[in-house]
Amino acid sequence: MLLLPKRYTATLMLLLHTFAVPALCAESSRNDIESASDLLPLSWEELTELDVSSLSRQTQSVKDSPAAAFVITSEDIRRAGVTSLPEVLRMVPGMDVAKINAWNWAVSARGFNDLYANKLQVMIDGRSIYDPLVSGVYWGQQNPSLQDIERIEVLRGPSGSLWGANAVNGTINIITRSAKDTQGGLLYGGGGTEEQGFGGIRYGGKLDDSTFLRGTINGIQRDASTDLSGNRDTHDYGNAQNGNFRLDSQLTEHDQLMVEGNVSRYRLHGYFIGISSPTPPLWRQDDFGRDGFTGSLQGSWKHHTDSGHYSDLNLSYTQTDWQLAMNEMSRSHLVLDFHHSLPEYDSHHLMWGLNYQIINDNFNNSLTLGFEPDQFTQHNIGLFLQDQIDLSDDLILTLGNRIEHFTFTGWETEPNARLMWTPNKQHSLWAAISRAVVLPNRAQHSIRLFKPIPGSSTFFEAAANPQMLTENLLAYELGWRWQIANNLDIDTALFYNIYDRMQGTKFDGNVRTDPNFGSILEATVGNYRQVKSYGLETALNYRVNHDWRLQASYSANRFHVDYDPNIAWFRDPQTEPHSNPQQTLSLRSLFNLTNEIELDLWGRYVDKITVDTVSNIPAYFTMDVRLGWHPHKDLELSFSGQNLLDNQHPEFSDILYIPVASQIQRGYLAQVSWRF
Amino acid sequence: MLKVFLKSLLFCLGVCLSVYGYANDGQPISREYQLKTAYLFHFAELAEWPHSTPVTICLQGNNPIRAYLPILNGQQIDNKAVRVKLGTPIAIEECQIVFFSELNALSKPVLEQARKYHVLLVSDAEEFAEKGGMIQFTLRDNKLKLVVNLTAVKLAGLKLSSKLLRMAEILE
Repeated sequence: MLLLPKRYTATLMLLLHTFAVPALCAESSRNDIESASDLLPLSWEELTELDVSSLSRQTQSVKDSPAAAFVITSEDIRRAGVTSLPEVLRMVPGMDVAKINAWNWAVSARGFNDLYANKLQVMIDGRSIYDPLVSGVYWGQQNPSLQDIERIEVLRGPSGSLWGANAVNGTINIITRSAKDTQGGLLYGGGGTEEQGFGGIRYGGKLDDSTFLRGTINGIQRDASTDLSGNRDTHDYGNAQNGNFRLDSQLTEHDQLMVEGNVSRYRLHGYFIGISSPTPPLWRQDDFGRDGFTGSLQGSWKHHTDSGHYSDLNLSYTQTDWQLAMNEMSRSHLVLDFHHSLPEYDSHHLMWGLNYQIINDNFNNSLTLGFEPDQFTQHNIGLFLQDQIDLSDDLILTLGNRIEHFTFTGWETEPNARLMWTPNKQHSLWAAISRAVVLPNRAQHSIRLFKPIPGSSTFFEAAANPQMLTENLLAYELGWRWQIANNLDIDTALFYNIYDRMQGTKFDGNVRTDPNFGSILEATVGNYRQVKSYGLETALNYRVNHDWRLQASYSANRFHVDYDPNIAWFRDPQTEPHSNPQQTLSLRSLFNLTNEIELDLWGRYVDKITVDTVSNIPAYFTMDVRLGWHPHKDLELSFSGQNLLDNQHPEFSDILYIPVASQIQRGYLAQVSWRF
Repeated sequence: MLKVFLKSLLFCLGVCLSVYGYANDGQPISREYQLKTAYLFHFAELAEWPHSTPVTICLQGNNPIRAYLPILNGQQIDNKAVRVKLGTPIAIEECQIVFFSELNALSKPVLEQARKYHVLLVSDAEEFAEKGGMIQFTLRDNKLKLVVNLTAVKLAGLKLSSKLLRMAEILE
């Protein structure tokens, strides 16, 4: 967008020499000059983050892409005054974020929210952090230093052709700061009533003129919450520590290398399912929790040529080990990913890519929870091709497809077509049709869960379904971006989604009798349902002046489920309409009282939900307030009040998980950060 | 007439060549000046003059930024339109911000006038801030950084937002 393709340049240079200069010069550089005005709506913080000779113009390209996109900047994160990733995501329209307890979250886009929400792809610097066991993210195990994040790009809707299976309802890409941008030291910390204590230290140095290295160590300690009755503590206290390094090197004018490593350790308490035993008591709840360790190492090598080829090779290895009272897991996950984009040829911008992943896991099964076989290896391979075609000056068509082969389901395909029309600088409209698939996860293929039916002393055994197929989505989307003025824009998306072969869990009618446990009901998961959803998301951004910014996000959605009412369902077959808020609203005001003092308000409304027909969670409106002070240019102090409008409120629950569902309490938090 | 034509031709060539400098060495020079233009727009917001006034941005000398500055003409800040003056010679008392193309132009009388008329002096010339200029652009690790001579800013009766100062290197 900012740079004209080379062949025009060459033509221009040639013409210059033939002295047809003044008119042509004015004509041809107009694009380039006008594109400078695209920078004017940016806030000061966004502007100062931009690179001068940028080959990575992601901030711009995401906003310009024919998809429902939202970018969270480091300034947004800082001024939200929060300490965890899911909290930050609450500002995104169409994202449903609900806290279950101190360490567990239900996070999804466009509905289908659950502790084990399985339709969201989440990456840190391109490395997927969703857990292949449940195809969801265990947010409590992801505690990166938020100060190291440059921005978070959120795409709602399917982008399976680019990001593969599970990029179904959304893709979140967390991009950390380059080592080059984090030179010097940073010391930060804080504490409060719920976040008892957290802190970190970062230091970045220069190894040579083009190589930079930084390291970060951080830790967090959280208090327990209160249960749904409001009387008892839910034991969900815990702590986590993280160590991270990142090296960035400009190897040559054409080659960039990035290497990043991370180790995390966490001890997260709280009930988790409970333990069944053949001797009385047959069932026991206790403060079980989860202890674990995750280590990862990843590298990326970017190369471009003068002729306009860009390629990007990524390799990542993640080792995850955790233990619960009723199982232990050890898993290695290796991913190799390659992208190549070709120079423009006759209005075509071609891009293709290959990825391969190998996942090897090992479980130590128990009576309560097992995965059969207890050792398993998956090999998944994918190939994608995308062509972006400039049909005319203001019309761009993007066609893409990905073909993947999975150990569990064989061949799958995820095509999409997108059209973007930009009639002028103020308006852009886009439309898309895409297909995406949710891969059955290791749990659906091999789980064996044995415990009492919630609220009863009868035991059930939920068995896996090795015949489980992918859930298939066909999505229709429309979007409109309107830059009303330099300081005011509104971004709206509409969607209509059809999900076939949706998972459902039912009692299959078999009853077993056991000398210790009596009657045992058998339940199984399968592709039993069809779900349709439609909705609207809109985000408004208004910079009143350089001291005051307002941002609003609103979303609304509806669901319709087709299922067989004669079946004895174990889990609510109408989960989607029941457990997703019909409307959500986020309103933020970021105000500089003076040059040194910031006052930020954040109000959130979330509609009522019912989880598994038994847990009614009322609608809530709550508010956070943050007061920030910069007594010195390198020092920041802040004080926040969170969830101020009530003593406590519940946000989510789960039938298998009811004892731990907690209420979210009002909290106060003081933070300090010092750059040196 | 011919002289004027040749002059404009040469100038236009200069701009075109700098705008398309990308073609020669792979560095998008245009991007740098687009960014500097956007920065200047923010300076108009982030600086405070002793008397509230519409902001006029003037350009001393010839610099690739000349091609981009006109986009700021008419842009609103606090409901007042920004004006851009590219004509020479510049009348410094009519400007709130002057972008200097050459360090040599920063003479003693110019500095005195800037103090008297509360003019913010900006440049991307090296040593500009040391030599009495107020905000100097430098390139560091592929990002634009600012060097601010706070003494010069204060002497001209100007105030800069701490938002700006937080990311600047400050000479006092």
